[in-house]
Amino acid sequence: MNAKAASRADNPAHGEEAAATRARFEEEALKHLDALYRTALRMTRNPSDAEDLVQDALVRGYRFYDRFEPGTNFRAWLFKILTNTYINSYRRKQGRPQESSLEDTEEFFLYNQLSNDGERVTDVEDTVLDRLGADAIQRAIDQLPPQFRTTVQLSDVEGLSYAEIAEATGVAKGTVMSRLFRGRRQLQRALWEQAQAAGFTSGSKVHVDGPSETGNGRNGVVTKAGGVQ
Amino acid sequence: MINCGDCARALNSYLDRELSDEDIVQVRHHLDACGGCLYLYQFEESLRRLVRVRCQEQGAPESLRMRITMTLAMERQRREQSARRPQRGTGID
Repeated sequence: MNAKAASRADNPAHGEEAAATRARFEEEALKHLDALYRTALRMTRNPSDAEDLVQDALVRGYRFYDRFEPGTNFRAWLFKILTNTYINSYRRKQGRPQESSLEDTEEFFLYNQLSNDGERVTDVEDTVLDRLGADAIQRAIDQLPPQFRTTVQLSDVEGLSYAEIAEATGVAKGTVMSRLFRGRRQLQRALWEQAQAAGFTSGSKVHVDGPSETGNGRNGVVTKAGGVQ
Repeated sequence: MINCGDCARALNSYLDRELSDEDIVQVRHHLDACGGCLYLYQFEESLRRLVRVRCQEQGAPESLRMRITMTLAMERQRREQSARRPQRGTGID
């Protein structure tokens, strides 16, 4: 590090260029601050840790910005640093991840729950789920197992592509797809539980056999792969 | 022409905009022809929107933005000083 700094200092042009580059880092990185913070919050589930995590990640990004290859995806690179910083510094501190109580759920669980035979629901805003606020939805995401949670957050909230999430989380694209597939099914279950916990589902037209029944008691609106209509 | 099962399996990738052009056309054709799948598609799309919009209401606290700006400024200063030191006297009268 010192040797590197010294050789850079021998070349004034390089020093100025590097300073300009770093100023650019700050400008570009701060554009993603909200997304980084939201994701850090899902990782740590604690606002104070989330703030520290984002700050640590951005200082690391700043220091290592010369390793970023121009023309490649800056956002994915930033999230990758966030993920690595979390794994290196914070995950240990968090101790054993809380086991998820979510069962694996059929695909399109909410659509099945909310649709009747004669009446299909086409907009979630017409359902009890519209009453779920940001807090309840975030609690639902927080119930997912960690690797699903981050993947779902990056995709469904932050809008990263499969390739970007693969880069950011250090796994193959196929792994991203399978995490999304399972994570989203669990999220649907978790959202439903949030609506139940808030009392939104009682007295509605939705048919629930019991609060924690699995989706086995389907009601004729089976939409799992191969059985729509 | 794909059937309802194919359409249901492709639906999430379709919503993610991760399908090939060819598959996109297939799904669109199916949704044009099949009311049941169209309902499901519309519902899933609205659910995605609900999650995204509500969760994006939350941003980073202003105090964090300020803290990071300050930390990076200090980091920059530290680096600029160490880069300038050997050039002392070269460009200044």
